[in-house]
Amino acid sequence: MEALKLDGLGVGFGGFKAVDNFSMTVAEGELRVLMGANGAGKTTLIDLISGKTKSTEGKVFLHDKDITNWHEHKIAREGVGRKFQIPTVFRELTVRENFEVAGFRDRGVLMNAGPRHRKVSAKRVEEVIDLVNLREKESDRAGNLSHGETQWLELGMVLVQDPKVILLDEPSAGMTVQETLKTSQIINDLKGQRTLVVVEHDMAFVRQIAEMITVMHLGKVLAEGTIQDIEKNQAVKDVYLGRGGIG
Amino acid sequence: MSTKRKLEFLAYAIFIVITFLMPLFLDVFWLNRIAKYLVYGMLGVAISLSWGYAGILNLGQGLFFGAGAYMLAMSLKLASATSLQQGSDTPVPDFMLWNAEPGSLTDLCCITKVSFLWIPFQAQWFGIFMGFVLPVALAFILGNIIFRKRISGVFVAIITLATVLLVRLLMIDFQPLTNGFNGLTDLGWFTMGGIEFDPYMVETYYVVAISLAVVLIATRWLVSTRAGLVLQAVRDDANRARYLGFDVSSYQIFFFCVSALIAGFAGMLYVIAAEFASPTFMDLAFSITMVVWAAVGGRSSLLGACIGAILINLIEATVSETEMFVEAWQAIIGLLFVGVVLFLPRGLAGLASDITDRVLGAGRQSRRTLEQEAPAGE
Repeated sequence: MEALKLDGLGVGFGGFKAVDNFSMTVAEGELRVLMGANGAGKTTLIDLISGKTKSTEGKVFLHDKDITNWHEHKIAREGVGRKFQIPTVFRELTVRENFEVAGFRDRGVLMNAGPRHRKVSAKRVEEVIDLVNLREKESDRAGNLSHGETQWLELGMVLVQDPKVILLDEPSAGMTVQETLKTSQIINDLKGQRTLVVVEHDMAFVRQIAEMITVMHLGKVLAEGTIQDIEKNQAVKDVYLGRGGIG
Repeated sequence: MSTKRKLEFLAYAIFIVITFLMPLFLDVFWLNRIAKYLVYGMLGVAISLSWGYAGILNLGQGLFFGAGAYMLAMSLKLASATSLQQGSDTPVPDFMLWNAEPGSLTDLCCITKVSFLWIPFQAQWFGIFMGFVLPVALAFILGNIIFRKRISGVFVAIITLATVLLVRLLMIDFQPLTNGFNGLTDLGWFTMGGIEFDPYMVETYYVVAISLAVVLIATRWLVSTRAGLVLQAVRDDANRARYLGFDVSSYQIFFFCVSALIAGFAGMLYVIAAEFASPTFMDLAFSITMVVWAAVGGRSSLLGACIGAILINLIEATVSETEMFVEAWQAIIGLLFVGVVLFLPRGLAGLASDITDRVLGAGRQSRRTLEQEAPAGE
């Protein structure tokens, strides 16, 4: 069954088509890596799926439900989680509070202003704190974390949010080798349980996690296939070789 | 962490007990003064909620304060015997006689074109009711425009600032309705449960002190709920909150309205204690002064901002009345502000928090550094 389906999705900024007639189907439980050179439209595509940018053509379906151009919070409630390229967390709150906010199941303001004090999916929070290795820092201000820890915190928040489809925009950006390895382990653990779309152009990292890869170029699908297919693909080589090869 | 929380509650308790004990030490003249300062403290709470917790710098909080003040003042004006006996057969406020339409009936219904709006205010409960409803309604409209359009940061400050100035201008211009620049003076006393609250009376002081205690506790509770935590999350990163499924603007609008409610309440209490309402409540300088109080006291602490407002007003009163400083007191206060903002960016409350952290964390910190240094040395 397909979890996420993009059908002829497109958006233009002043005549320039950042994403152009883009179609892709991601099956439930699949991990799809989205590759492409700078400016290929990867982040714009993620913006279109998650509602940050409104598309001018095409449709986005989540489990057969049309979520095209909904408000961000509605798409999130429907079950799409997103991690940003530049980690965004609640800097003045503690690590634990960040997770708690992500775990609130009632999203309305009046529902949350009642006397029930911070009722959260506590078990899930505990699991994730251990999973992303932030147990020792749980009472620290999130703004005091290192870059890698901040990335994990945000990834962990998305996991606590517990969406059906998770969009990860360069989850290993700025991480050390060990941190990258740990991140790829976390992502591999999610395989099969969650549907993931991962934007990444670090080939070493892609090899650690990838099953299916979609390569974007100038807002369009250039190639789609397993990692072996992609490495052999002539069109991909042509686009990348000028830049010193794919990996 | 929990020790710190206990200390915080202790601070609230001490503050409230001190305000309640004031009548033991002060005469009614000073009690009336302190009552006004407690009202300013309540404004500090409103600013802290919107600026510190929601990240909304409102430079027009005076709009809500003024709205609350005028609503109750209209009722109290209609309760003032002296104001109603200025030579008419039926009771109408004095200024309406001076603004009467030529040949019109001397009655609230039609003495001026808009005087009928005053009719329901003959009931004091209606004035109180509107004193809560009008500020919230204004905040709701303004908040919907600002936050649904995702306006943030300095632009919110500019819009709120412009709005309060606009409303002030309208208030002054609508002389037949509002008595314009003169405001509403010669008011009757607030009456409740058969008691007439003379501003220079211990009971009146307690009306203000208890109100402030209730507002402080209720607001502190509100920010500790899940909604309060989400609000702080929104302040830190609105986008992150959106992608977790929170409708950011509804949180901002809700707390903007709560902040307006508190300011409106403060406006009514001020009218009870000071016996007038004036367009100066909507002066730009007043709204900015409130923000300075909160900055000095610590905007991220409700109690800090409250104490900041009270302290600054106390210092202003004492310094400006000391003969030595009569000429220079404003410079002294100004230097104090500059000093606090430069050296204590989180205000007095931030300083208090840092000190408790240091005292509480001293033992833990030294252990932690020892543990960290040991493996590095191996």
